[in-house]
Amino acid sequence: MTLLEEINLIDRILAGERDLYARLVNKYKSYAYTIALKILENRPEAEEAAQDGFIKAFQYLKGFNRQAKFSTWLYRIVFNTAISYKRKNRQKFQSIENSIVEYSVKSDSQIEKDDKQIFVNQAMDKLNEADKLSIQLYYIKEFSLTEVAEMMGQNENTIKVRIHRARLRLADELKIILKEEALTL
Amino acid sequence: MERIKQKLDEQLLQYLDGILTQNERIELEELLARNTHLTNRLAELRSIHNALSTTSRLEQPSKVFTDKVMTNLDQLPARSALSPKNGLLLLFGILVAVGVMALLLSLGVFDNMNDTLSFDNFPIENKFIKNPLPTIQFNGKWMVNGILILTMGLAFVLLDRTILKPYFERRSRIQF
Repeated sequence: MTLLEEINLIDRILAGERDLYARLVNKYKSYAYTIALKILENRPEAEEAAQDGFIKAFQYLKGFNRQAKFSTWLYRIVFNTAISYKRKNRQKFQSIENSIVEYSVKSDSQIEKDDKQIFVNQAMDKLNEADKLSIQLYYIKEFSLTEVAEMMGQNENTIKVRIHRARLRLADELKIILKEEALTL
Repeated sequence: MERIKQKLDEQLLQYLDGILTQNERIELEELLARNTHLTNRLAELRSIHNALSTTSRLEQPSKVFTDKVMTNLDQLPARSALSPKNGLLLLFGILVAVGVMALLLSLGVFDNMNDTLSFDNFPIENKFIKNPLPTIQFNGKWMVNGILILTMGLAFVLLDRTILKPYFERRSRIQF
C-alpha cells in the first residue's frame, strides 16, 4: 500500500467505511505489538496496549496530519499508550500460563548462543530505561532512526547519542560480566 | 587520550552500522590491521552488535488481534461533541458564574427586586377583555435562586458528559 493509497483509505474510513480500518490494523499490528512488547516486556499487556493504541488512533484519525506518515503517528500513539500502561502497572506479574517454557535438546553452539544472550540481557538491565528502549527499537531493522526519534518524542541526534552510548556501555558491561563468569568457573 | 578513544569507538560503531564512506572504511581497516587493541575492541562491539541484531525482530501478536480491535471499535460510543478540554473550560465558566451569583445572593443584591407585574396595565383595548387580568408577584431573589439551581444542574450534566462518562468508559472499554 503506497502512502497515497493509505491517505485514500483513511479518507474512506473517515467517510464512514469503518470496516476498512482492519486493513490498517493488519498492516501495522506487528510493529505496534513489538513496540508495546519492548516497553512492557509482557505479552498479554503488550497486546492490550497495542490494541488500545489502535483504538485511540481511530478516535483521533480526524486530526491526523496528512503531511505526516501514518505509521510514525500511530507508533507514537502506541508508544505513549504502552508507557502509560507501564506507569499504571508498576507491579509486574508473570503468570505461569503466559510463560513460554520450551523443552528441547540443544546443541553446544545453541547453548553457547543462549548463554551469550543471557549475558547480553544482563548487561541490558544495567542501562537506563530510555537508552535501553532506544537501542532495542533501533535494532529492529524495520524502524529507521528518524522513526525511533519521532516515536520517543526526542531529537534524532539525542537518539543517536543514546544508541551510541548504550552500545559502548553494553560492551563494557559484557566484558565485566564475562570476567566475573570466568572467575566463578 | 580519552577523546581519541571515544572517536575511535564512534568510528568502529559506524563501521559496524555500515555508514562509513569508502575512504573512511579503508583508513579504519588499515588501522585495524596494525592495531591489535583496536581489533579486540571491534570484536567486543561486534559481539554486542550481532547479539542485538539477531534478537531484535518483529514480534507477532495473537491471530485474533485485528478482530479484537474491530470489535472494540464497534463498541465505541459516539464521541461527545465537546472535547474534554472545551468541556472543562465550559464547566469552569459555569462554576464561576454560579459562584458570582451565589455571592451576589448572599450580599442581598436581589433582596429588593420585588415587584408586581400587572397585565391590566398592558396597552390592550378594553373591548376584548371582559374579566380583569391577573397580577403576578415578582421576586428577584427567587428567580435568581431558580436560575442558580438550573445552572448547577447544567454543570453536573457537563461534568458527567465530558469528564466522568468518558473516563469510566475508557477504563472498561477493553474486555479480554
